[in-house]
Amino acid sequence: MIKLSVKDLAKRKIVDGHVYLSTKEGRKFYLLKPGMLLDEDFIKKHAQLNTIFDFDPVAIPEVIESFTKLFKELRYLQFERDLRAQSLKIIGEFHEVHSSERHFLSFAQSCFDSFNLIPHETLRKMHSQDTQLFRKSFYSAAFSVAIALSNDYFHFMMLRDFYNISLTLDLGLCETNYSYYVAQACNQENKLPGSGHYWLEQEKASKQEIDVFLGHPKKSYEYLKRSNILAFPELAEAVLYQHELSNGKGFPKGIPRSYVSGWEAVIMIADSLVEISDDFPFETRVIDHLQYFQSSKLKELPVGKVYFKLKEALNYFEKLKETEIG
Amino acid sequence: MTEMENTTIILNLAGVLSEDLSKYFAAKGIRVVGSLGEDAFLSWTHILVKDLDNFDAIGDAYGTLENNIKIISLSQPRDLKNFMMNNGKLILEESWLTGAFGSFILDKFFQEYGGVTLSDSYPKFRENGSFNITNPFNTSEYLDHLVFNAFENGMSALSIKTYFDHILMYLTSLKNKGRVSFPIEVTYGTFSDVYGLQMHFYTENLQIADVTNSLTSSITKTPEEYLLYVSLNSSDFFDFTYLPEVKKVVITGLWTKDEKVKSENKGMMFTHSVASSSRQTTTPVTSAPFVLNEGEIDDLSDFVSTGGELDVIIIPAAIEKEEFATTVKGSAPEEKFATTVKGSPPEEEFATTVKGSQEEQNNLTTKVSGTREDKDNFKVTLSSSKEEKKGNMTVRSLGTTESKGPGMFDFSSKGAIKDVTTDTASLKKTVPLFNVSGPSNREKELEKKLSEIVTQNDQLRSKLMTISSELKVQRETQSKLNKVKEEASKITVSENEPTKLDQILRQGANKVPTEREAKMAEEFRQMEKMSRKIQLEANQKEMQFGNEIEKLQRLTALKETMVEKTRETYVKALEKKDQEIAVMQLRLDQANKHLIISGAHSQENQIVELEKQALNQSKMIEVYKTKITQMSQMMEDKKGTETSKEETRKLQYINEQMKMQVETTKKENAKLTERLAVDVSQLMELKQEKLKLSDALKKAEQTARLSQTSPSPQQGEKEEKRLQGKVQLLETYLKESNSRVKDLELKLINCREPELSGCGRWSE
Repeated sequence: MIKLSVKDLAKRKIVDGHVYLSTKEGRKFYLLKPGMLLDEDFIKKHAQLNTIFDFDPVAIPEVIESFTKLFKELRYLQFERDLRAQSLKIIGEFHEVHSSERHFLSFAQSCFDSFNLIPHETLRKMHSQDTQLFRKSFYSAAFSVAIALSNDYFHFMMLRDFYNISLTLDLGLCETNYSYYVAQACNQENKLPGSGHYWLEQEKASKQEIDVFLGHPKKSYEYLKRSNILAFPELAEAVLYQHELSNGKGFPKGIPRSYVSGWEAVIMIADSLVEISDDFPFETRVIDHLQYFQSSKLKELPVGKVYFKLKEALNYFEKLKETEIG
Repeated sequence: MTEMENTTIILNLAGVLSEDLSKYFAAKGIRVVGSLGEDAFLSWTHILVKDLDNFDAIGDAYGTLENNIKIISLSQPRDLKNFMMNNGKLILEESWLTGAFGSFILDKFFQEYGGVTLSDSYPKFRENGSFNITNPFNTSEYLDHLVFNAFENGMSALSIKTYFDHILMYLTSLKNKGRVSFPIEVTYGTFSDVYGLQMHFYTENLQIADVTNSLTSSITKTPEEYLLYVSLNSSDFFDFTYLPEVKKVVITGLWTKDEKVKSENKGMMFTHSVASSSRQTTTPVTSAPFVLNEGEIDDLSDFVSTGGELDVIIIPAAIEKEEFATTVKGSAPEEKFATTVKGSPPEEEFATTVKGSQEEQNNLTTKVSGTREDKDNFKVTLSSSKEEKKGNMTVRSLGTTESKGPGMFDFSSKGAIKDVTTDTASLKKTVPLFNVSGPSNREKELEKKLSEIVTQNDQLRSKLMTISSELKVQRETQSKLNKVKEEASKITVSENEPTKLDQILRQGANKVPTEREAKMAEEFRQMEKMSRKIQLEANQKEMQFGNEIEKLQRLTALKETMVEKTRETYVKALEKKDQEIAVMQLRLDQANKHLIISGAHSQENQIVELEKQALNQSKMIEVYKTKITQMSQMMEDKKGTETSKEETRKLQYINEQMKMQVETTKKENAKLTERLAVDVSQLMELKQEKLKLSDALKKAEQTARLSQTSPSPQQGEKEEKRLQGKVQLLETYLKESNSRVKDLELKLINCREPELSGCGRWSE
């Protein structure tokens, strides 16, 4: 635990550890969780008070730096062989992150530094609506990079597009009448396909809330189209498939599994891997989370092939490690 | 059986179908009908054709684009562009149906299913690999894997690589136009003896022209024009499927090991797929880029469309011009009729330009003008020249007649649609040619069918004549009615005078038997439609028969040329033989002459010499015979001894060993010579010592002699004994050295012995 003033904390746009505030009595208040955005109101308030925080770091600066370096190198590579070798390197490092005590947050932090193109105002808007939703998007986006790399999408521009699409996937929820219920409907949809709408009706959500839920993929899609930040604008189509199911009963398009392309599946799986909640499975072992995901949700989603390529890549490094130890 | 299968009705213009294809249609519950009788009024979903190269006529007559009637060709059309522009969707030679895969392709085509991966589009396929293309110029390693996999599966790696390279560059060119989006996802796999390679991508605003413009068969400076053509021809079957719901295009190339399919047909399929199950909460994407709109038609100069609203009358050209002019074109007063068609002013409001193919563009340009309101009632007549009347059967009459006024089609170019014209008279003439050489059953059949068609045509003509006479009456009444209407329109009617107008209208109405007229008109239209369809079918059949006849003609021509060539070769051979005979004859004559000239004596001598030579030769032959028998016996002996090889092997082995021994003895010899040299030197030393000793002995004897004379007896005895002992010692020493010398000499001799005699022994 480190004692930090707000000035030191403000240097981090995304908090890479737990931030507590100790009272005179020695009690601790949980102020910020890892992966959250440091917004201006927070800084202003505590700068005036000259607060000293207790900071419990989660991410490892060296790991963040090493990933950032790898992404930077990837950006300037031209040839297929080099790109492939570099992507393998990154997946190897990712394997280290997810299977050891070094946390997934370091990888996510590095991805944010390397790929984010979303304006700070937009991120703040999302953050101010719901910090959990923001954290979910933050982790999903990092996952999309890892999945894309293990599925041979190793061009920097494309990875950046995957990242930004995943980050803004649920932005449509924040545009109008955001409520925690609506965000939970997305969770329900991911848990039990086709249940989001039903769940909202059961919870007696208003028509407006149901409309927000049903329309959020389209709104996120429109935001991406407007913002003009994508190098491959057509990838934004994947936003429209975020709640599609293998039997074609999802929404908003209701298309069957056979119509979902690999790049769409990358976004879908990244979205489904992380829930909007207070739990933080990615600060421990991601592989356990993947195992849980595989046994509980994967069956219903049209993403099997893409998911197993990620698993395959991680297993490869696991075996490599075992042989090295052996 | 699905709903889709039940609603599929195919108009068969391909003649007799193969057993496999008929079985397939029967099994799937697909109706295959003709265009006659009740079938003529069915709404066909597909048209089946064969050996057809120009699809404009079918496209126009059946409105294949407007009514979305898909054309299936059972043979490879020469002009793919033309095929596609007329809603051509599937090219599948019947030989594909001999394997299991043919029915699979037809299933996919009729059920219109598909997916983004190979196993989705062709569920029987086993997927061997997949990859993504983000940068079209970064594909080397993937391509290596793909080609290797194809090669492993016994496919032509050259074809597959050519296909992949060209299709990728084609897609890259479309990407540059903003039509195609990356990444492109590729999957490949096998099913039975078929290899499949599928790629899919997202697309927006892909036009049919983007596909057709890349189907140029010649190599030009702009690769975009032929890239698709090359890739299409590098595959055995090419499937281009558009998934409108997700705006994705799926391109599949298939290769087969079946040589018959490979050599005879390049299959092709262009389909729109429909998602099987969906729960759509938003409106589905309805914009299907493959539907042609007006703008596109304008861009494609060779696209001919008369439009659904225009009522085109198709007339067989064999009808007499007088009849034609009076019955179809409209009865007198012709001018008035023409005015009616023209429509009321302003004329410029409505003008449609119809163009022919690129080659015909200069000659054929028809303008139809009138008001938009008149469009539905507008009728187009096609006139024919007298010269072409006899014997010509055309889809449209092709004439040189001048335009008879506004509102009429004028195909001023002679033979504007030559492709669909068949000269029946010439056909008739060609048939007897086969009879000369003995007509086959097939030829007889063809003749029979042809005559049937001709009779059908005659029947049709007579029907048409009766209809046209009815129409004549109808036209007359119509013109009268129009006259009345015109009069009515001329009269300025004020609101205060409604009764006057009513009267005029009533007068006109009383004159016209409207119900009968409408009925007749309807009947006439039906008959017209029927006749048009029959005409087309007849034409199609005629073309088929024409093709068959052409084939047969070609065959006979080929046979004739073969016979001609063989005859020529025989004639040449005979001539050669004749020449040879002549030469021989000449030689014989010369020999005879020579015999006469040379004397008999010399001949006898020659004979004697020749006899001697013969005797010698016979002896020689005997000698050789004996030699041969000996040699054969030797050969047999050699063959008989199976162990000879083993012996030679043994000998070789011994030889090797001997050689080894020689080497070792040589080495030993060298060592011994060295030793010998040492021994010789020792011997020399010993000899010198011996000499010294003998000298010393002599001296000692001398001294002994001297001492015997002077010294005391006791000293002398001692000295003598000492000297004797010394002499004895020296003698033994001398003996020993002598024996040692002898031994060394013996050794030396022994050592040299094998060296001297060895060669002879090892060479045995």
